Amino acid sequence: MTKIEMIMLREKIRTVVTLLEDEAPKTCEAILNFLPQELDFINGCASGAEALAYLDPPNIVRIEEENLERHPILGDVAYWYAPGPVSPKGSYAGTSTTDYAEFIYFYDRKARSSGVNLFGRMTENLKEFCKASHKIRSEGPIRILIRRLA
Amino acid sequence: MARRIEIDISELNFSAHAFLLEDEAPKTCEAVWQALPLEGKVIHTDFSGMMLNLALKDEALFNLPRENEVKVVRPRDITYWYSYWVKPGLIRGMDEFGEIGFVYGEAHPSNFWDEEIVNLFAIVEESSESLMKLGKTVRRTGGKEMIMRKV
Repeated sequence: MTKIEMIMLREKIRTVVTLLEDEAPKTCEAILNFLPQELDFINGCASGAEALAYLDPPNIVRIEEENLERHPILGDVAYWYAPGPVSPKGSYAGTSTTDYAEFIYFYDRKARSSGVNLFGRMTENLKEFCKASHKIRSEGPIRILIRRLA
Repeated sequence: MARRIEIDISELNFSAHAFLLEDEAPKTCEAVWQALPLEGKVIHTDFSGMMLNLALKDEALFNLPRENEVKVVRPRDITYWYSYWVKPGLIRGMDEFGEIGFVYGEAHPSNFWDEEIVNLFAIVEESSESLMKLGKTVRRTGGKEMIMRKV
């Protein structure tokens, strides 16, 4: 099984994500090709306990819907792609003006989704990692290093 | 002439005035007016869309009946919501609290379970564009200390 790790750089909290390569092979492949990355995670504005990092060009990968999940639980890791153009009146708070994508994880059961590509699940240190994510809305983004585990 | 309040977020050099809807929401306006100045950290909502919230807890809490209720909100609206309207007891680990909401874009007051009804009690006079900039900045950078005071 292929695994990636996510490390909160300032908080020094780490989790391991096991990829769902059978269920979401294209998404997993795209994610592995784009790692390693350092991304700033902010909170979703309509999805509850969802932390997301906007991916701007050239890191956006067009991926079709795969292993779609609308009822996420804590520890789910997902990818979401949206064709552009970005509406300046929308909730998007990144820098792209064309299409955009999000690297997402869910840190509590109180979350909902319009449908994301579920490609991984946190399998180590889930509780501590998710607990630390609750502070994003109040204290600001969390920078996370994401890389493949050998 | 309607009474007015000031919203001040000094860290972002943001200041705006809002006028109270005293005919439509007299109890809410009076309670807010008497509570001023109100200070606290305004944070971004996580279910309602493009909206900021200032929590009213402990000594800052005032509980009010529903009044001038709306389900559809628009940019520049300022709203009041009380947790016991939904259910007495804990919500998000807190018992009995209120929220003042500041709408800056498309929003649907909501919690995890359902859409919410809120008391619309004031309208910001500032342009929608400056509110949009404020809202997105708070979303990207985290909560900010806010003061609401009488004008």
